[in-house]
Amino acid sequence: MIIKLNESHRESILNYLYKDASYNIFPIGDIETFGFNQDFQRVYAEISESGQYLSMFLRYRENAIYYADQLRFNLDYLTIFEQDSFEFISGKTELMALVQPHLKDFEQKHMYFCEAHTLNANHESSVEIQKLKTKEEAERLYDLLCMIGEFGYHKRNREDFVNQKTSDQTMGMTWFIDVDGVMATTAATTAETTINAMVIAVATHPDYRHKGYASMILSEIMRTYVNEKKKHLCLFYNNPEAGKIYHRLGFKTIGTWDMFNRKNS
Amino acid sequence: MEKPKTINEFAQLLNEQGKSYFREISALMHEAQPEVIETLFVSQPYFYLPKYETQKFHYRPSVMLAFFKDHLNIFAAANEKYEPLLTDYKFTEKHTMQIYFDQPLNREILVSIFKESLHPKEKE
Repeated sequence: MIIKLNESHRESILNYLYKDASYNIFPIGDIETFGFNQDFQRVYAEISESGQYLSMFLRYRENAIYYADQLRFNLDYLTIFEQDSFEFISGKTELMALVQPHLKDFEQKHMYFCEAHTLNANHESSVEIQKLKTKEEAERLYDLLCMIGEFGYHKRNREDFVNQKTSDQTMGMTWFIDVDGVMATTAATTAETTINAMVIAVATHPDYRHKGYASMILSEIMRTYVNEKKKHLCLFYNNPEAGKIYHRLGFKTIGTWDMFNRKNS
Repeated sequence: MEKPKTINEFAQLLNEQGKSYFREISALMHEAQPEVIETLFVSQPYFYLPKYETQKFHYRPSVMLAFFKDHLNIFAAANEKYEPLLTDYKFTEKHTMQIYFDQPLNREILVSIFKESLHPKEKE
């Protein structure tokens, strides 16, 4: 049986998700931060006759995440997929292999899932690493991400991006390095839970690559989270060059993650 | 760093190779769609047709360029369609075309890409 969860399920669903805390960083962060009463978030779960959770499906804005602690996908979720449609859906590779046959007109992206518990190489920074605070800094970040071919930010709304970056820092922070007045490198954290956080949007301006800026900014993030906050860090990557940097700093690949985005979204 | 306010100011800030590629690409854009408007978005060249002026910015058919010291990125909806024909150029997984300043321009295909991206068939 699949049900829509409410506040009364908070503790039980979090207990279920925390058994696989790294992989479930997004749903845990979303549930801890936004709960069950926001119009942009809904949580569904499959429950056994004895009341045990068997799987979970979370909808957050245009995103969806599917998780089960065993290899299963209940076809009754397809009705929810139709009624509560999404632009992106992701999950562990082995689980998404069960979901994929039911996704039409979606593009697949295969990624490695990494985790860091310790900081291996402490890259002393020769430049100032700043935390993003102001609207002007968020606008410059948007400009940088728009120019980079690996991202698709130029189709995202600038105002929404700036508002989100400056108003909502409960789930993570953004860092950047300025060189000669140019935002040269940036990285951010999101989905911060009580035990971990996700590193996202690691980007370096193409004219400032191969100078070690990405390692410096990641070291700073790892010092903040791993050393000071005593939390783990997770990240996805599919670029082998980026993977080398992450591994050198202390990230270890623990599995793979598949993301599907609706074509032309 | 001072941000350019006009497309001419932007062009003046490019290195010599960048200026040359910008001039050529801009000419191809006008060849593809003579009425094309050139402006700046995130301080980089942005092209669209006047007929789409009223359309919401992020849904508007357009082509955006981004210039760096040794290459330029072309963000265009038709990139994906023509990617298999442009094996000399690098494409990112988001279908952004990257042309390095030592690469010749494939003018014919670029004009087709600009034409279709600025005025998609389904909008006719």
